[in-house]
Amino acid sequence: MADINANLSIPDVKKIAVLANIPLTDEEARKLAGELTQTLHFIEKIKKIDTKDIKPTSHVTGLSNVYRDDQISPSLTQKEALSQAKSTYKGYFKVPAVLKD
Amino acid sequence: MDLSELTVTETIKGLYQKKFSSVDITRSLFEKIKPLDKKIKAFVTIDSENALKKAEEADEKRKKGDARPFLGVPFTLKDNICTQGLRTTASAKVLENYIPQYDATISKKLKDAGVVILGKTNMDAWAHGSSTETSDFFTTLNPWDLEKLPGGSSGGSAATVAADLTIGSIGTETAGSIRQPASWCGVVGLKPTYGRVSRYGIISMGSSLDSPGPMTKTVEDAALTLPVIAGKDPQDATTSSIKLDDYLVNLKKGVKNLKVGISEEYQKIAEPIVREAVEKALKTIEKLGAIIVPVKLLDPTYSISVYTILQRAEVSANLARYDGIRYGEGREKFGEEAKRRIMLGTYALSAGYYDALYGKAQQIRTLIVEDFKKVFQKIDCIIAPTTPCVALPLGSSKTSPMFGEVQDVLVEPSTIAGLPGITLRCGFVGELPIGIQIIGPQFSEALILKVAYAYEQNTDWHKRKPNII
Repeated sequence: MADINANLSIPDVKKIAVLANIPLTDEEARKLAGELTQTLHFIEKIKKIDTKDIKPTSHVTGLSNVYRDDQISPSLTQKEALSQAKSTYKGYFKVPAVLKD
Repeated sequence: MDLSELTVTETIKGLYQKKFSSVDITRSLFEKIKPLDKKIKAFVTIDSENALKKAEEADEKRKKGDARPFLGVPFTLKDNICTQGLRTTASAKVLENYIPQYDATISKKLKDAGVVILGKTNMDAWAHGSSTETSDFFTTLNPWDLEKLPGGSSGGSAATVAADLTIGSIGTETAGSIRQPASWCGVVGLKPTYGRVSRYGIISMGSSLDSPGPMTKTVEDAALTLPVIAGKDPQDATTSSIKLDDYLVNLKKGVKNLKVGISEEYQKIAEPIVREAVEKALKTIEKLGAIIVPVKLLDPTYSISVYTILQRAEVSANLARYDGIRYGEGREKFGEEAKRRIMLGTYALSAGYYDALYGKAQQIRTLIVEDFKKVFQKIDCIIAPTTPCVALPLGSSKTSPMFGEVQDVLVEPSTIAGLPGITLRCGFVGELPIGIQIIGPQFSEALILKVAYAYEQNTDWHKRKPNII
């Protein structure tokens, strides 16, 4: 198990920003490095708790595999679905290109 | 009589007895909202024209024999609850101009019940905070003292209830976002069991934790409102099919022989004046026939770390969908707090750190769940302070990147375990209300409402009003 790296550098922050798709200025990256480090130091104390052989909980009320019949039900019309988009083209959402020629 | 002061219970009764109409109440609320909201700033959107139209329609329907109890009862909704055709922003710049094409399940249920929606209330942006100071628009002020914070994230909803700018309100809680502002604004806040109320159409924060619930003037109002919004929803697979209790029938049964747990681990976190108020309240509850049992619970301060990790991780996943393509603005519009949370969450879920952070937090979550289960074998419910202190001055949230998590320490363990909790007034420090919370096992809303009601009815705290109104 990797240990928590509780001291985030500015390059670390910039790398996370790329993963999270968050545009950051240099000033923001510098500030975040300090703040995130502070938070990581705080939460580090969970290391002290023994969790050997403890199962993780992701859901608290004990439901599992909730199924429903695969039936057609009313949904948004194309016009409604597109109504909040800034840029559309012939009934589609227009998205920025991700592939280069 | 000033109709804005009505409770949900009194409104339902008065409408039924034709003492006043929905238009009468709605008008008197807007008359109050107009001058007062300039000071308190609780609303992001005021929908007066449509609300009055809906009130007129409700009155017409009632004349024709429509007897739905909530027909024509005015409510405010937190601005992260999607309302078809009515701007829903989560107080975030990214969603500043977003007009939902659909209703959240709870919006639909409220509309189907005949509720008149007055407007949408301010909150910490994306529900990230406990002050409303991270709202991308403005800070709401506490109606009891305009130099104090209302708490958050449902601070706008709490303020509208406290200042009689509405009859009732709906907030949402991930950890504390109903109970903490309810406590600081001195209103009743009920955070239901996870899965009791649908999350569909609510702008997600921490999907394994989010729970919408009523914020009201009285405990009875919360008991009346919960069944309107609760229940199994095919649109939210995590809602429970466990039957709803009859909250009203149970409400007035008293607390005789109920075993009420009190935990030193919680008491010692509160400031002395808050602690004393809670101890006094316990004496009252004991006099009413309950048995007070000291219990030992896990130190709640560990929950701050566990909650921070779970929530940041879930936030980073939930906010990944905002790309400005289908609706809303681009990711450059995220505010500081949202960026901090997305970044930490992304780190906590990234390769190499997942086990040490998110995985470990989920294991401790199991320990917290088990801890409560063990204690609830011996007692019926737990009583604790809702918040360590009363409302703090404006600007307080800017002192720490974890302000909210630290403020919400006394509600985090129960929310991590998906338990229901209710807060109500148990005293004042000067003009500022103190909150006491009752926590029960999963799906024990009827029980905690009953305890809250017994206490409320045997004290006078709920009768006091802020000077501003």
